Amino acid sequence: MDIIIIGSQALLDPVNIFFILGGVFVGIWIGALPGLGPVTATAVILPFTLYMEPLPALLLLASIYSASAYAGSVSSILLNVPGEATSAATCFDGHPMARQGRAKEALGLSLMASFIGAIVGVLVLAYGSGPVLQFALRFSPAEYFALAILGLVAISTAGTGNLYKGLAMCGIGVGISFIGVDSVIGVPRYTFDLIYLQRGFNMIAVMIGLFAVSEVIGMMVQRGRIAEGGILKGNLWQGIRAVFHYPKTLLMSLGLGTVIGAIPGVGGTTANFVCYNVAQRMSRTPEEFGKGAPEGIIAPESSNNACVSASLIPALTLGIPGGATSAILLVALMIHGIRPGTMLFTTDPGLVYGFFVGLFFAAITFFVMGAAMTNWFARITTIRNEILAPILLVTSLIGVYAYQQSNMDVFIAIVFGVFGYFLKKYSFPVVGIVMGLVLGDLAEVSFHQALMMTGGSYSIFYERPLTAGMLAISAMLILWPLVRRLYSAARSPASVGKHSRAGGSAQ
Amino acid sequence: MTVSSLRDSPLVRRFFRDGEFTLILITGAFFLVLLAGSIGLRTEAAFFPRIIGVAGIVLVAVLVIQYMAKSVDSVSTRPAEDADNTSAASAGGDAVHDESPDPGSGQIMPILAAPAYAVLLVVFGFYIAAGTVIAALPWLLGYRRLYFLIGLAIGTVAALHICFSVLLNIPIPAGIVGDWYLRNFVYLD
Repeated sequence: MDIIIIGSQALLDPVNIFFILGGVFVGIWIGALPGLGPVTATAVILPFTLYMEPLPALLLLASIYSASAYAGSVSSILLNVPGEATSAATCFDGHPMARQGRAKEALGLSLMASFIGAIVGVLVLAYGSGPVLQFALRFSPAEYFALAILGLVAISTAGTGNLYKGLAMCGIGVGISFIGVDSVIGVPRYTFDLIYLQRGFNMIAVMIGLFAVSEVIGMMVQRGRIAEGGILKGNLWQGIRAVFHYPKTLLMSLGLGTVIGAIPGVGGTTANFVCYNVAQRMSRTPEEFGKGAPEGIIAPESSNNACVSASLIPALTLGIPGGATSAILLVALMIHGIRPGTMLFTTDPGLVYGFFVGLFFAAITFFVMGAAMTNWFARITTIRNEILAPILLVTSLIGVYAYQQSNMDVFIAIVFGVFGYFLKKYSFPVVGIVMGLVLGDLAEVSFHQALMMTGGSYSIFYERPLTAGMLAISAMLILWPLVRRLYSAARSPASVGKHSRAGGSAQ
Repeated sequence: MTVSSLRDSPLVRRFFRDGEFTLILITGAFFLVLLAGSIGLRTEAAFFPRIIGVAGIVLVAVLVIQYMAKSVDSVSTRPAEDADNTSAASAGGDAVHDESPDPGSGQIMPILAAPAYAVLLVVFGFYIAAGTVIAALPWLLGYRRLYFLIGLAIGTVAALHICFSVLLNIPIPAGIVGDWYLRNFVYLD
């Protein structure tokens, strides 16, 4: 109760309310634009916060973070282009729903799931930081390695596609992450003496290329409109109510999202795929995933918004950022002379509790703004592809250029875009490449750090229960479809011919 | 079996004119380069690339076997069909093959649009490149309301200029021509 009273008193200043409203508005638009995400937005706005008081500065940055975590799903659903990596899993079911003309329903599902995720995340941040933090602190490099592997396998097995294609795409992504200077001993790898490759490929360029540019090419080839027949069916409130029809999926995603989000460095990227995967396996209708299943939106969206607040737990209590955006929030704190740590809660409760209440208010604000904007967002699916595709192409590529002001990034995005178009055409899941690029370096560095801890012994990977458990789950996810197929073939030999004509799907 | 009969067999034609098999080959080549590039690296730096390279080649072998099984099965059940004909794609599942006799028809211009925009961007800068693409590309794709397209191009470029240059203070590329113009006519010492 003290948190609410002290926090509300600190928040009552109209300046704080103004910056929350402004931050949410900016966050929604930035999050919905491919190529721009909360990292870019908060990094650009950070210098302006130098002249502000600490609480409004933090509220502005956190509101952008929270709103953009929701808004990333808007372009995922409408355009099949994730606004950021943490919204990638939403594409699997959100876009098929939009193609069926149910964009408003999909946006409603995303909005409500994100809102609940944000509220639960704030409550955990305010009241449950301790136990969550204790769990996160148990993660050594071995656990990080196992979690990265689990994330990659979860991505490969998500949806209804071919497992081996998914694993191959993750392998390509991990391979691309090797380009540049090695993070373990600092030697250049696969640079071919090119200066640009010394830094490795820009992840934003690769992501925009694989998702946005390839989608633009596909839209221009197919013509027509995103929504079949250009007709919108359903409404926002159907989607909002539908979230409550799947309580188990919602609770599972909130729990997993909070726990995984609190682990520094891994966070939302892994959480949304792991939750999608688990939701599919828990569902009574797993065959509906990939075709517009509501659970396919609820799971990733509730988890990625829970991750937003969860990633702030290690940041505020230990000074360890949960991700890039929480790192920027930490910088904002330090700029104002505030040191993160457990003492922060006792020396400046007005700031901390005001921040918690402000996040709660930001969640309500993005819910209201998102609901108001849904009709306008949904109309995008009725615009002709011949008009929408060039606008999307120009917007995405300027977003790529904006990151490092490099023309080379634009060319990289286009190369990956053309490659991604052909990959999608032949049902290779391009998301695996992006996630491999994100998790590859983490997996390699963690692996070597774990070996250094044990003097080169591999026992750390099977003696630590969490590590062994996650690696076992990963192995099971890969082997289970094969075992199931062999079992089915052994039980009914007559069905072997039918299975071999089914196209090799490993699900 | 002669070389020409092998080359003209439906199976071989399908292999080499089918985009999915080409992509599998490209994937295999990538992992081979990964393995080859790890030679000469120190053990710590080469370990992971070798693991991924070997695993990738195994996966590519599995994909090739799957593909061959699928292709042999479809060729044997439809012997009279042209090798370029397609099977319908199931949602999120099987590969999509072109149905038209010329697989590239209708795809060349969309595929070339993005590289063309990149060239325009580097040479002429964002404002001219973006305006041209937004106005010209719909026209080339069959949308014939010219004045609407011109207005749309101007409006979109203006909105992006305000968003990036003004609000976010992010510089927009001026291009080679734009830089030359600014140096010689605007930023005069």
